[in-house]
Amino acid sequence: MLSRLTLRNVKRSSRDYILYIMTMAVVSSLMFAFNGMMFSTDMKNLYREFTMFIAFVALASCFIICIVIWLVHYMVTFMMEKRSKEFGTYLLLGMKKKQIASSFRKENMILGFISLLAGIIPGMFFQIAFTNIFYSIVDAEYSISPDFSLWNLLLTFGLFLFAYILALFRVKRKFKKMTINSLIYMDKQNEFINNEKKTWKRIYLFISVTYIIIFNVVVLTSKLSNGSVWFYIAGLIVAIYFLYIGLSSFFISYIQKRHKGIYREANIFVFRQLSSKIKTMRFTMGTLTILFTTALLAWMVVMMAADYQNKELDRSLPFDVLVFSEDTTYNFNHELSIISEGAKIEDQHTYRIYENGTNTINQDLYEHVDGAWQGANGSSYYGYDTYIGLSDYNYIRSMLGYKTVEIGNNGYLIQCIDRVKPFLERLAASGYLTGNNALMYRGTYTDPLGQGGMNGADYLIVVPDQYLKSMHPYYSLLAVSLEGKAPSDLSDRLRSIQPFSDDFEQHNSKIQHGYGSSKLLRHSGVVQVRDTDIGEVKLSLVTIAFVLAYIGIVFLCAALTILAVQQLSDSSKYRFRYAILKQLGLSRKETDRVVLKQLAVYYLCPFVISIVLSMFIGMFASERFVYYTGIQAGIVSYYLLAVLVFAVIYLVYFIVTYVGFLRNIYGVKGSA
Amino acid sequence: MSGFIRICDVEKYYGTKANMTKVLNRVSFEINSGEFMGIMGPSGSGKTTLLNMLSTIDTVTSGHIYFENQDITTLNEEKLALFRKHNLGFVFQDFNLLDTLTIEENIILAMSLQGKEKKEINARSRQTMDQLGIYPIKDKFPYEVSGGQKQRCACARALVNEPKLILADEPTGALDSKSATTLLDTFTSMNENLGATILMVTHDAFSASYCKRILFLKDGEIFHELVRGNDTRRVFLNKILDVLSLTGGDVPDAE
Repeated sequence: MLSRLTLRNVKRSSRDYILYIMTMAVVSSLMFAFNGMMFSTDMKNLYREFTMFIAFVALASCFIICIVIWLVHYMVTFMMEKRSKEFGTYLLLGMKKKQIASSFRKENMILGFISLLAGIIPGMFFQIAFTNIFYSIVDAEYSISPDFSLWNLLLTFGLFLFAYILALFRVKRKFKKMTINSLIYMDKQNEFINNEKKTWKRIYLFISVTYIIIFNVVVLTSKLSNGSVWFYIAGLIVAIYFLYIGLSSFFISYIQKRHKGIYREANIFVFRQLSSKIKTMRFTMGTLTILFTTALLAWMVVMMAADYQNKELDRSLPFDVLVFSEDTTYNFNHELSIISEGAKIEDQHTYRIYENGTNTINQDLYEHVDGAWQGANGSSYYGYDTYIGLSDYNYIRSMLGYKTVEIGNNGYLIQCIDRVKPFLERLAASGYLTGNNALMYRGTYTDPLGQGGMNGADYLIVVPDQYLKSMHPYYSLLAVSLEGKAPSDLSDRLRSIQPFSDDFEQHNSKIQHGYGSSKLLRHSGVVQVRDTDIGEVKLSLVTIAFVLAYIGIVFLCAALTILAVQQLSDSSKYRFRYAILKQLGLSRKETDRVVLKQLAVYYLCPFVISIVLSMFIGMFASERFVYYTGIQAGIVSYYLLAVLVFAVIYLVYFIVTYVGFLRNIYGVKGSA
Repeated sequence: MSGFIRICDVEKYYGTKANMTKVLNRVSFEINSGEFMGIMGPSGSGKTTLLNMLSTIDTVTSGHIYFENQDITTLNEEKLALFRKHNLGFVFQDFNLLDTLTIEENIILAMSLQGKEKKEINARSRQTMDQLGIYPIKDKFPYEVSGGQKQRCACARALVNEPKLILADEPTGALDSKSATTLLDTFTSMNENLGATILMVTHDAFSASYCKRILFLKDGEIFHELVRGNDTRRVFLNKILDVLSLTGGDVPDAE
C-alpha cells in the first residue's frame, strides 16, 4: 500500500514540478554527454594529452554535483513545506515518521531517476554533437558513431545517486523533529512573518549600492591588488545579501511614505507582494544573484575564448614550422630532412638573431609593460636586447607574403607586437633605443611574426646587415613554409631531436630565454609546427569553452528553476488574492498586467543586479583580455553576447512561469 | 427611484443535459435606490447564486438583469470588469481582505484601481475609516485585528468608491454576536446616512431584521416577501421567524 502511495505521489509531483524534472533532465543529459566524452575513444584519439580534458570535465563535475545537491536539497525542503499538511495527515492516520520519511525519500529518488533516464538519449546525441564540434575544430574527419559506454552510465548514475543521497541526508532528521501540529500548520507559518515592518533596514540598500559602486570603480581603475581582491569579493557577496534585506524594507518605506507610484492601478498590491516575497526569499535571491553573476562571467569567458580562437590564433603562429636553436652556427639539416620526409618544403630560411651586449630595451619594457615577468623558469624578455639583419627580416617577411622594407644604410626599424609599440616608439623618440646614434629610426611594423620567444620576445630591432658585424649572434632560427598540411607527427619528431625541451633552466641553457609578455597563451619556445599547435590550442580553448558553458548553463537552469517553482507554487496561494482583485473590478487584461509586473520585477531583480555586477567585472576582464591578446575587438561585444544568451534562457523560464502562473490563478487544472 | 435594478425571469442551471440541476427558476424582482434589502432562504435555495449573478461573477442561463436600464447579462468580460469597478462593492463572510496589505492599503487599493488621484484617495479613505471607526488600526494587517474590525474594513472598502450597490454575502457569518450587531448597525448607518443601496444575503433571522425588505427563496423560487414598513425591529424579527418556521428554514442555524 505504501509503495502505491509513493508511486501516486511521484506521479503528482512529476506533474507539479515539471520544470524541476525538466531541468534535472537537462543537467543529466549534459552530464551524460561530458562524462561520455571522457570515456570516448574518439575523443581520446583527438588529444595528445587526454588527461587535460579529463581533469577539466572532472573539475566541472564537482561544481555540477554541488549545484545539483543544492537544487535537490532546496526542492526537497520546499516540497516538505508544501506538503506538510499531507504528512501531518499521514501521521494522524497512524503512519510512522520513519515510514513517511522513507516514502518521501523514495519519491525523490524516483523523480531523480526519471530525470536521469530522460537525459540518457538526449545526452547521447549531445555527446555525438559535441564530439563532432571538437573534431571539426581540428579539421579531423569524424565518422559519427554512437559511443555508448557502460562506465559512463555507471559514473553518471553514481554521481547523481551521490548528489541525491547527500541532498536527502537530513530528511529523516527533519521529520523526527516535527510534531503533527507543526506539520499541519507549517504552511501557515510563513504568512505571519513575511511582512517587513522595519523600514530603517532600507539603509542596507543604500550601503550595499554604495559598496557595489565603489567595488566597480576599484575594479575598473585596476586598483585591485592580488591580496585585497578576495577581501573585496567577500565584501561584495555580503553586500548582495544586504541589498535584498534593504530592498524589502525599501518597498515598504516607499509604500508608507505614500509616494505617487502606489496610487497607480494595483501597484500597492504589487509592491507589498514583492516586499513580502523578497523578505522570505532574500537569502535565496542573494545566492541566485551571485550564481547569475558567476554564470554570466563564465559565459563571457567562453565568448572571449571563442573569439580569440577565431581571430588571433592564425596571427600568433604565422610560420608553418619554426625551430629554435641556441647553437649560433647550427645549420638545421637534421630538421630539414625530417620535415621533407613528411611534407614538401616550399621555402625555408635559416637565420640568426643578434645581441650587442646591452639590455636597456628589455629593462625599459620590464618597467612599463603590464604583465612582463622575470622568473626562475624563464622571463618575458631575453637576457640581451634582440636584433635582426635587414636581409633576414625581409626574407622571412616575403615568406609570409608581406612587402619587403627599406631602411637605407643608416636606418633601423622596430618589429613588435601591438602592446609594446607605444613604449618602444617612445624609446626610439628619445634616442635610447639602439644606443647607436648613427642609426635613424625609420618606423614600426606590427605584422604578426611569431614574436612569443622565437623572432624575439615581443620585439626585434631591424638593422642594416653591416651593423651585425659589430654584434654577436645570439641564437639561430629555422623558418619553413610547407606545401599543404604538416604531418601530425612532425612536431613530436622535431622535438625528439632537440637537446632540450621548453624548460631551459633545467637543461643548463646558456642564454636567458624570453617568452614575450603574453600570459594567456604561450607557444613552445623550441619547435612550433603551426597546424599541430593551432589544433592543440584550439582544442584546449574549446575544452575550456565547453566546460565553462556546461557549468554556466547548469548554474542558470538550477537558479531559474528555483525562481520558477517558487512563483508557480505561490500562484495557487495567490489565486484567492487575485479573486479579490477581480471583485474589485480588475479585468482579465489588467490582472495579466499585474501578474506580469509582479513576475517581471521578481525575475528582473537578480537579473539586473547580476548584469550590473558582471558588467563592470566583465568590462575589466575584457579590457585585460584585449590588452594581453592584442585583439582590437570592442570589449562590449563580448559582454552583450553573453547577456543575450543569458537573456534567452531567462526568457524561456520566464514565459513558462508566466503562463503557468496565469493558468493557476485562473483556476485551470495544472501544475504546482 | 423605482426599478433601479430589475431582475427579470432569471434562470440558472448547472450540470449537463442528462443531469441538470435548476438552481434558480424564473426569479424576478426589483431593487430600489437607497434600499437595504435582504435575501433569505435555507441552504441550497439559490441565494448565493443569485448574488453571484448580480455581482456579475456568474452568468445567467436565461433572463435579464437591468442595472439602470442597462442589461448587464449582455456585457463581455472587459465591460463587466469595468461595470464591477464603478458600480459594485462587496462584503463577504470571510472578509476577503488582502492579507499582504494593511487595513488602510486595502481601502487605498480599491480606489487606486479606479484611477483616482492621490489627494482624493487619501481624503476619502481617511473619511471612510473615520466613519467606520477603524482609523486607529489603519496600519495594522488583517491578521492583527479582530473579525469585527476586518469586516468593517471590508465595509469601508466597499463603501469608499460610493458604489451604486453594495452586495453582502453572509457578512455576519464569521463574527461573534457583539461584532455582528456593530456591523449591522454600520450597515444601517451606511444605508440611512450615506444613502448606500445594500443587498444582503443571509440565513440568519437576526441579521435580516435590520433590512427594510426581505425576499425569501426556496428551491430556486421566490416564496415570500416581507416589508418592514413602520414595524420595530423586534416585531419585524418575529415576522421573519414566522415565515422561516413555515419554510422549515434554518432557524436553529442562526448565530
